[in-house]
Amino acid sequence: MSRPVLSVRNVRVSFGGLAALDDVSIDVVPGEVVGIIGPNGAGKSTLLNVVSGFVEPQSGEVRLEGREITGLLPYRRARLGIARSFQDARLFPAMTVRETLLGAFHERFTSGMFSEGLGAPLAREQEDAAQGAIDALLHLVDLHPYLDHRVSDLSFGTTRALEMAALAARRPRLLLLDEPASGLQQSEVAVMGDLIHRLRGGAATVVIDHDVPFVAALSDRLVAMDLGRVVAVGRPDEVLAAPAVIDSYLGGAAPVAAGGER
Amino acid sequence: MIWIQYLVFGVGIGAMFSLLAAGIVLVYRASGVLNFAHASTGVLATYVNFELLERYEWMPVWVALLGALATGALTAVVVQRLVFAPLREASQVTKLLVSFGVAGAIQGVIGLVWSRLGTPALEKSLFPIQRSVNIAGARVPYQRIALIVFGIAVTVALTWLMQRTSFGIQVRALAQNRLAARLAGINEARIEASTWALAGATAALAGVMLIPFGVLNPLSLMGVQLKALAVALVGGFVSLPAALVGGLGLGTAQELIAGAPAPFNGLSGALATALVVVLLLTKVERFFVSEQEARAIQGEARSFGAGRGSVMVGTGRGWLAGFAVVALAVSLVSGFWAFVTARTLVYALLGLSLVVLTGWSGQVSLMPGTFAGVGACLSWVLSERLGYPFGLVLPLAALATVPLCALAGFVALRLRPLYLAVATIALAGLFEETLFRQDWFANGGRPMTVARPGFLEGDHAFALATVAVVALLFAFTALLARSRTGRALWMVRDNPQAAAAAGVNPLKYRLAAFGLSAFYAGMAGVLFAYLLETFSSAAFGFLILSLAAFGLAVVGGIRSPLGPAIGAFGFVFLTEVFRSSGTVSDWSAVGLGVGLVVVLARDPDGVTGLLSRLAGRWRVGGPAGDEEVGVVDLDELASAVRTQEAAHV
Repeated sequence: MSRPVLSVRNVRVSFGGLAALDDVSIDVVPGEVVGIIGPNGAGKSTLLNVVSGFVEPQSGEVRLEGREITGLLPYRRARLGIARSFQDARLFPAMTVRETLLGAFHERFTSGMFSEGLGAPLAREQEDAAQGAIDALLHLVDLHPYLDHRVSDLSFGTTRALEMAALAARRPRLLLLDEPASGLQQSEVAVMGDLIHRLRGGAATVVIDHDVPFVAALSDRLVAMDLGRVVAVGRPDEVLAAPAVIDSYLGGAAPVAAGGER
Repeated sequence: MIWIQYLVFGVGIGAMFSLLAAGIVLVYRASGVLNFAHASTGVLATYVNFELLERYEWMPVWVALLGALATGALTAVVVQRLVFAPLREASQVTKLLVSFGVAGAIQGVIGLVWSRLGTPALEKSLFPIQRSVNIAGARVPYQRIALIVFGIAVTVALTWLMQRTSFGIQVRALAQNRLAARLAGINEARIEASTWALAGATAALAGVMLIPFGVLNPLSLMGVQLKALAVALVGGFVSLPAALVGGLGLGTAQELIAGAPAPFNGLSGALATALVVVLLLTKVERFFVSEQEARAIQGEARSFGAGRGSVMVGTGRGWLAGFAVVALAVSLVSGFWAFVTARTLVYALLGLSLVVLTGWSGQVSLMPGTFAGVGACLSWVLSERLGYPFGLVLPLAALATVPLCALAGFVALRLRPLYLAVATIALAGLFEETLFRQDWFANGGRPMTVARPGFLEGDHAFALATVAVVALLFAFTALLARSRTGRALWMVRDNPQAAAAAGVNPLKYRLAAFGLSAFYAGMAGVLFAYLLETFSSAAFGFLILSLAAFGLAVVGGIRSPLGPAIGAFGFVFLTEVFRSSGTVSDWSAVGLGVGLVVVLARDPDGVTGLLSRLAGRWRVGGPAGDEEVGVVDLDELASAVRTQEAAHV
């Protein structure tokens, strides 16, 4: 088996005495899609936040391609090749679609404030290169009609597609998708799965969502969590049939409906 | 026994701080407005009080006081109904900025009315100021004692009202959960109006009692109000007991220090502002207010509403071409108009510093004038004290402004938006009362003189040089807007978390915005110094320069470099054009104030936003700013998704 892209080891996070993640370990190997399912409070979002650097674990470690990244700030992890989406898909409301896509190339270029403000050749070349790169991107997702519209004026589905395109633009090593199907209509959910497959470009992917059939169809492997612990790992059909998973959804815990976690 | 006198004075002033702070707290609780127009309301009422006494000789002081209280209450209610009721959903920072506009408008109205009537005399104060009582060997005027008694009694009464009565409970319910309070049958409009009326009346009382110790003019209580803000901050703008304790403590400490021997007495002015900075950094309000309550009232953190259209930025070449036209115009007009043009451009540059800082990185700083003052003083230090030539002073003084002002940046990175705005007011005060009074830095506050070099001696030559410098900086900014840096700033402004997840370091860009904005403002200060040739640090005060710069940038449109250019033209150039009528500065204060209110309430992109929407309508087929994009089915998008793999991007 090849070296894992993402390796989470014995991570613990607690918020004021309440364990959100309790000794969680997960590996993601190159090219695979790992789906994480579980009822509210299972710790799915917290796990994503720990990997992307928005929440620091009290103990345990996170490695990206063997390199320890625990303790690095979110923007540093992004530069090492982690890309993540957000549940709210708010993006940058006052920016246009074009600016948002150009912004996705931030880390790939090096021009600084002075070369840009003075119109130095280097800065201009890089700006042209970025424009060329978004043209290539627009071949994959046709956002042409909206290029000069502000993000806050887009429909929710289009915003999600834009978010995916901006993530793909960065050609990440590890893609983290935080409820990509939430807020979409049923007809759009299937399309979103298709879009993810086309845009992820073979990157190792972790996806969490409340829509279990959606995640199961998308994933090579499923990880089921409950109350901060991993309760089952394996092929989607195996995990969905596991007694611990059925218990976590139907057992003593609060019943779960599809929808937002917050 | 002199210290007893200082003590009584201090407690009296402190009681007035508490009283004003109590009014600010009441309004903040009921409406979430940190009301900077509170003092101006009091000043207007004070004018009415003394006008009545002067006109009607027979009128007892108590009757005039009733007139003043009614004026204060009525003004506050009108402001609440007219201005803040429609802004209920706006962010707190927007409301604070709107209240600056209201303050400017009230001050302008006072100026307009009483420049005709003549400022009334402060002869009949409520209690005698000339006659005094002997306390332990110290002479204390009766009104000094009245300050203590009234200030404390009214503040305590307000505290009781908020804690123990049904009215207070309703105000608190409204503050914590507006929707739930409405559903529980609380008459929101009535409660808010009563609270504002109460606050306006207390401001009137403070004005009528305190102003007779000083002078009456439209800006009378502003200094006191800055201290009252500091005091209100002790309780996180929420706790009244904290405001009482803080006010008495600050007043007493300030007066006792003022009575101390020479090297220390100078510190008394800086005390309040230093206090604010410490309070903000230590989050002292947590001792008085539960986190939950503070957050409920704090509300939405969004610092600034975005306008509806896309912004007009212009190209680097476009700006250079535009300024070439200005240069041509300058060389054709008289020396006076060349001077006015240069002054307009300095204001525009000061406004541009706010485009970068507030418009692009979303940080509301109210100290651009202070930064300019630092630049101006540094140019005096470098040229007159160190003998550097103009060619060196210009870049060096502007650059040296950056590290000095980085202090503000470091404070800023730790604060919530509303607190950042308050902190910059406090820091502006701190600079004014310390650095701007130093002999080595600002000639001890006395006038400073810098000499233009020979080839720039004439107003025409200097105006042309100003055009050149300002043109370069505007072009620089326009280029930034179409680059990696500009986009990174906007990403951090719109959504810091998503920006970080895309590899942008939020701290770096917030700090860079502060640095660039300090450089622009510093450069504006240097140009201002050489334009005036003789100036004093007082010209760069918060109330004098910063508010004007902020107002003109916002009215013009703070997300586009075009905004401050338009704003400066309107505020500085047109003011000169209309100067023939005597009350021009009052009219421009009213205009700027009302403009600020209207822009912030309607479209945060100001005049520029209006222009770009008109242009969008003009351009057939172009993207119009107003147009809503219809709901798009994702299927449509998916059909456009080609079969290539993203790896080929």
